[in-house]
Order: sequence, then structure tokens, then C-alpha cells
Amino acid sequence: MYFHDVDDLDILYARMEREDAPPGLTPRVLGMVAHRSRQRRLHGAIMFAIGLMAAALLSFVVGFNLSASGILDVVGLQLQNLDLLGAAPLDFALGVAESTPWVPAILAGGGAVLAARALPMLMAPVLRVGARGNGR
Amino acid sequence: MSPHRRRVVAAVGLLVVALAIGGAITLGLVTAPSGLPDTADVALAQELPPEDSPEAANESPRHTAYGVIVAMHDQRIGVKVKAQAKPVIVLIRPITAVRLNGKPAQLEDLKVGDEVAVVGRPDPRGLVARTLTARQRSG
Repeated sequence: MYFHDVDDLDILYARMEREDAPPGLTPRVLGMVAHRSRQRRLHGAIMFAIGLMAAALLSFVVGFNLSASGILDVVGLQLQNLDLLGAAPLDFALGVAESTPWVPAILAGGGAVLAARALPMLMAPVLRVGARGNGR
Repeated sequence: MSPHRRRVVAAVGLLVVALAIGGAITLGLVTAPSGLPDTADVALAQELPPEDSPEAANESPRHTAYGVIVAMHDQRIGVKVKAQAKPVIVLIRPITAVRLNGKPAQLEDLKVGDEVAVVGRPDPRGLVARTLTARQRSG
């Protein structure tokens, strides 16, 4: 029978000797954490740069193809005659869809998503383990 | 980094991505060649192949055509587009809405050399036009 909510485990723990951490463990752990946080930020920066460049390059291709295919001129002429838009809306939409460079457009979207997803990694805090207090 | 600062940095990052995409699309639009075909080497007022002949078959069926009229015959016009060597044969039907320089017009008002944008339904014999907007070049 025990009092004050003390059980066998508490008694066992109380009998154990306190062991100090191995020498150098704390700085090593803190160093690894700091290294990981720096790596995370570096990966974020690389992902952001790749995503941004891919999105920009592929967006250029999308714009180039849209203009060169003449679909923008078709859209422009249709917009100048707005009453015609209602005459064949489905054919018009299908025509625009046919002329849209979907592959570069989707890849550009993927690049933008990659860059956006890299932002939290880029902003992750970097732990600095300095001489003062070993990061404490 | 404080939560407020993180939000600001995230917003700036997303703005950079959006500006890069918008700028690149604009650059692509500006640097691309015109969608209008180069008609310098194309004979205007060509003969259209008979409607049922194999030559009249639609080379690449699409819902739109943008180019220059190179041939006119009866209710059919040949439109030279940039993407293909053979003119696209456009079939004009009574339902086709024709506009010339923004005003309602008849097929007879169009002439070889006019710039046209056609929207319609692809057919083995050509593009069946629902709307046809034309712009006459001055001179």
C-alpha cells in the first residue's frame, strides 16, 4: 500500500542514479539540428529558384504559342463583335482549347506550385549554435 | 521570424512568382511572330478543288481558322492559315454570321486578300462556319 500516489515505478526511478549525458552530446545534437535547418533552407531556395525559372520559361512558351497560333487574333476579332460570341459559344470554346498549348501551360503551373511550396522551407528558422551558451 | 513577417515574406514570394509568370507570358506574346500567314509567296485568287474531290479534304480539322482569303468560289472560301500549306476550305451556310470591319455583311462583300477569323464546326469537306469576322486591309 502506497501513499500520495507513489507507485513501484516512482520508487524504482528514485533509486536510480542520475547519469550525466555523454560529453559533447548536446553540442553534437544542436549542431546536427542547426545543420538540418540550414539544409532545409538551402533546399527551399533551390526548389524556389527551379520552380520560378520553370514557371517563367514555360509561361514564355505559352505566350509565344498563343500569339503565333493566331488564336488571340480570333479572340480579339470575336470580342470586337460581341454579338457573335453567343452564336457559337461551344465551337469558340473548343477552338480556344485546341489552340492552347496545354503541356507547357500545365508544366508552368507545376513550376509555380513548386515555387509556392518551397516558400515555407525558405522561411524556416535557422538555428544558430554560437559560442555563447551553446544555443541555450 | 515573427508570424507577421513570415506572412509578408510569403506574400512577396507569391507576388514574385505571379509577376514572373505574367511578365514571361507578355514577353512571349510580344516576341512571337504574327498569327497571320505570310502571303507574299502565296498565289491569291487560287482555284478551289471541287467539293467532293480528295484534295478538298480537311487537312487538320479544327474549330477555328485565322488567315487570309486566297480563294472564293460559290459558298466556299479558301483561307490560307499559318499552320498548314494547303488553304483551309471554309463552307459558308445560311446560318453563318458574317461581319466585315465590325458591320454585318454578306459573303459577296468579302474579297481575296481579306483577313478573316472563322469559328465553326470541322467537317470532312472543310470548316463549316458559324461566325466569320473579316477585316479588309486598306489599299
